[in-house]
Amino acid sequence: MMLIFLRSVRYALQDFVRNFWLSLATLLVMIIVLFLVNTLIGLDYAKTALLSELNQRIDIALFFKPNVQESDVKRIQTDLEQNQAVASVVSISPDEGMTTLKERYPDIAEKILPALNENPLGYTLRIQARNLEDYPTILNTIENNSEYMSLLDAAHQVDARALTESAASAADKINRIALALASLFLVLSIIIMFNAIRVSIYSHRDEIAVMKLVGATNMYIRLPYVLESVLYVFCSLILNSVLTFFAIKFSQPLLDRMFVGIANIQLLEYFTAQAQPILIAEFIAMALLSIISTSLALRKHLKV
Amino acid sequence: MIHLKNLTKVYPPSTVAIKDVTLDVEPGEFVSIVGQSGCGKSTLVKLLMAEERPTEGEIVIGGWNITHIKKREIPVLRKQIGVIFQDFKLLPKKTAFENIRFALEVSGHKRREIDKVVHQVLGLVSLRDQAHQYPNQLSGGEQQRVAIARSLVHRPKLLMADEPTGNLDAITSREIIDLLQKINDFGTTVLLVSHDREIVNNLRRRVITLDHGHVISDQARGKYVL
Repeated sequence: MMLIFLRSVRYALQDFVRNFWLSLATLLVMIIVLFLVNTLIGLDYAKTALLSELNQRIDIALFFKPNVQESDVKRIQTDLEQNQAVASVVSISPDEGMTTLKERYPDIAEKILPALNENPLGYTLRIQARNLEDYPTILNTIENNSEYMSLLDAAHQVDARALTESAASAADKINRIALALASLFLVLSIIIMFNAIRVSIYSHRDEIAVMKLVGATNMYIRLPYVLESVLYVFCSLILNSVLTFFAIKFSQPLLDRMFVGIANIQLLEYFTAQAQPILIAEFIAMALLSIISTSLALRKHLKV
Repeated sequence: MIHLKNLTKVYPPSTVAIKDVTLDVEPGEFVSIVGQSGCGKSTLVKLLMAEERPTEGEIVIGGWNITHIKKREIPVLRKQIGVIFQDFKLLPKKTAFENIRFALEVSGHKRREIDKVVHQVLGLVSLRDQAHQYPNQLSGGEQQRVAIARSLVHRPKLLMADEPTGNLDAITSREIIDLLQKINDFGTTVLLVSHDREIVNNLRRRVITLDHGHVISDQARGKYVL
């Protein structure tokens, strides 16, 4: 068995080198496929970064009436923290609220506050959802709870609903587009890859027939082609990594300009940090795909 | 060596390639099978090497009934019979040496043993100097000699030659036939399929003539009669 494997490795390497142009053409197709996959990964990262940035900038603020006790606020905070869709709930006391107000609007604070005898602000709870799409659900939970509503200043919720719902809708659309793109890219990748291997095997059909005629078993014929296809995957992964690096280097300044003040999208940092899992996953997926494609393409020609 | 009994091959829907052929070839014989194009000569070779299955009848080679040969047994059969073709059927991206070596490697032979046998057969077909050339660097006659060398590596009891001189000039054809005769002299049964009148007549050996799938003549020292 080892002898067959070692001979198959030799045949695979020989065929790879001696059919240079065919190998190059197949390799180029695989590089394109991998580049498509990497583009998809990059887009997914950019989408996640954008949505996460948006998520951090949005929250639901529950403004309690000034007479609501701290213990009631704490109880509601604990209740909300139990909600799966809620990422965090921050409680802001009336004093903290006043400090923030003074910092943000010093002119108003200077003119109005001296006229008031006491702090007019109540407790505030700032709620952040895990995902943008969760905000409407959280708002519904709050609005459907009559106890909460009786303690709240309802005016602020109208703004929160409009903003969070549009954000959730935008996130949903972005996710749908990303999913559609991902599916399209994956289907295209599989078709392109399968055809590239089929063409490669088709151009070897006469050789396969000769091998059969001199008494080679199907396994003996199949193994070198399978190994060669894995070799294609290995080489295309290396070359594609170089291509991806230069593509990121080129596109990073464009991304920086495009998303300035919106989100910090650092593709190179992301790909460097995720290089190992991405490369391993791509190698396994591509190798499996090429082994299956090779075996299917060979099946027809092995019936001699 | 070969026993065919009422052998018939019909390609769907109703093309009869071989019809009710019964014949025996003894070990060590040199038999020419002749006939016009489409008479069933190549189909007969395909049936003998299990590339096609008979519709009816029986095929026995060297005592092995291959009429209903299993798929996994075909490689074993093909290692036991040597076959050469008009178009040589060499692997274009392998050198002459590698082409011959491949036939032994598929049988799992060790490298040292393979190298020894390959050198021997290359010597037999006088191609030692061209051992490391690719098929496209060799002449037609040289390519056919590589194919013959490859067919001999398993020391087959039967060598089938399907129009081996079809692509060669008269002088080279003569050389190839001489080589086949030399191989026959060593005891290998040779089955030559040809439509070359001159070659068959010069051989003065057994000639079986096929016409529309039927055996119409079988002469011990025959001539091309069509």
